[in-house]
Amino acid sequence: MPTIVIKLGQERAEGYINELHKLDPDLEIREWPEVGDPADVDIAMVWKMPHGELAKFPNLKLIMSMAAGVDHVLSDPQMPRGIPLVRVTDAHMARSMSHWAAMNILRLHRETAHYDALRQRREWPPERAFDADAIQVGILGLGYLGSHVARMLQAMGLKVQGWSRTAKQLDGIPSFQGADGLREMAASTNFLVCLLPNTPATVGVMNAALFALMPRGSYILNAGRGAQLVEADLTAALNAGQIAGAALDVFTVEPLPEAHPFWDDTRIIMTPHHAAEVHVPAVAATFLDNIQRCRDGRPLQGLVNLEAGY
Amino acid sequence: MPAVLFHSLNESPVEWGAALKERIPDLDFRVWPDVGDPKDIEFALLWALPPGSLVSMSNLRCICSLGQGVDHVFLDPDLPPGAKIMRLVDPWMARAMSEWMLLNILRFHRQGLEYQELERQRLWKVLPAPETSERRVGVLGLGALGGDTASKVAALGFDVAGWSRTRKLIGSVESFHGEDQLEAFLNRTDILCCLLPLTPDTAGIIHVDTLAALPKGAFVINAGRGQHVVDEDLLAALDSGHIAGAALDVFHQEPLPPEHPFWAHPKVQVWPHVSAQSNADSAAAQVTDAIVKVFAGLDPNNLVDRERQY
Repeated sequence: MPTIVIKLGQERAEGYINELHKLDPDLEIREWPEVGDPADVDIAMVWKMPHGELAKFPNLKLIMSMAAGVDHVLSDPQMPRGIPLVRVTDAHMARSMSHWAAMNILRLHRETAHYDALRQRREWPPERAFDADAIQVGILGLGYLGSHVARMLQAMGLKVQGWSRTAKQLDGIPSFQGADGLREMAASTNFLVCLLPNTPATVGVMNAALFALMPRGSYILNAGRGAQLVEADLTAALNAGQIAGAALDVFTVEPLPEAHPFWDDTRIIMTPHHAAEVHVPAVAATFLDNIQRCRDGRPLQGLVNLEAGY
Repeated sequence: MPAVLFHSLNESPVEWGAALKERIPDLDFRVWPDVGDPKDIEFALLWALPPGSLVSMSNLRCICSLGQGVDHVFLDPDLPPGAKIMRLVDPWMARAMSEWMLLNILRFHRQGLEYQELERQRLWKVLPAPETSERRVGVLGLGALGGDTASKVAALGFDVAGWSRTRKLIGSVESFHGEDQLEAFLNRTDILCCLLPLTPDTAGIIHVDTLAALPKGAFVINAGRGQHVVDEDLLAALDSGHIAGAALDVFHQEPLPPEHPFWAHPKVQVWPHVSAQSNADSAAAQVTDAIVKVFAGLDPNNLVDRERQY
């Protein structure tokens, strides 16, 4: 019988198995590493599967990343190359990511950390007007998540522009491409939101040179991958006042090591890689859809371009 | 030429005089208490003028509030009977208000304060994720401010309802109106946002019974007026655990006195009335338009009903 193998943190795997069985009680699902006969496995649903394990399934027809990113699969040197790889594209997740971006843009713009400190001291500052027009958002990455976030921020009345590898057409959202486009967008962006996939081309994209192009006192938000931000460059730019604050959901090393300087930096808002929260019932339904598509030989959803790496 | 009288506690008469004279060069601009002959005054631009100050201005035709609220005008029992009352309706201010509301809604919804506390303790921990479609936001007051907030909250994917004196239709926002429907509105509201005008009917609207009508674990956000909330009732509901948190930008007395229990309450976010201030340029243009119309014998925009007081 065609069998699905699932690899995720233990408690979370159980949640998905339960949801999938609610939708289709006949699915044969085994939790890695208790896979039984590897020849039974036609579909692998994985998050950070140990390298080399996927190559052990001789009849594998589909690899499903249990996240929006697929870097954790592509980094496996023995990943079976001829097999289609899909990633999660789920509207709940995209909305959750949009809320994370909206909340943190507003927290930084409205100087929440400053007002939290005033509250501690029971201090009432002089009257002050915040200019909603002062926010110019620039989104790095206009794929499934990035375009969703761009449209939601636009619906809130914010000015939004975006940068991506290939040209994108989004109503009312100026779009930039390539190295020159990145520089051009940075010069007119004071809230830079990174939602890029992790590929060799995006590593270190947010660095001192990019920060220097932005208006003084700009803000950085990262919910892409930790490797896209040069962390030491951010600290230096914050110290110099070029960057005024940041909101980070992803880090070079996760969980963030206890000795990391970001912990004590009040200019940085941190969340533990939960910007795009996963609503398990909704995501399980998208998984089942792709399982059925694969087994029926129909086109897959969220198919990754292995060349581009996302 | 008839004269304009100005009074404000915190806005500069010098800046206002300059801004208006730039637009109406021969304007006779007087600053209270230097009124001159009270019969010269036909237009009064003011905020919180001591009651009884206008009674001798028998030719006064229009009282313009220097803000969205007019409750400070109606504190005066001796308003000249012939004077019409208007307020500033500033689209810029509605945007700023929606920003502040969205910031506080999202911060409660996405457990922003809990994550902030975890960050302080250097704990990397993901909390169970709330689902947006199951979080019901309710906006008290669907005027220029409440209407803008309600439609933007709806655009973020929340289930939104509004309550107002008369029925209002705003996109997908479910409409409740009148005294009879207040309880049903509160029963379905997990995050209550108050943007009502302060009138004899709305004073103290957030009290022991209305708080009890909210579901357990609801949040309260107030940017209307401090007098909308019965402070002791809110504190009791927070302490009993019925209300999970409050974000307050307005208070009975401002600045909030240092001994007030809101300051140190762990579930209360005290904000120093920074949600939305009027924009000087946009306000000056509106006031100019009103002065020109009133001096020409016409009605200005944004008149307030003297009976209903908003």
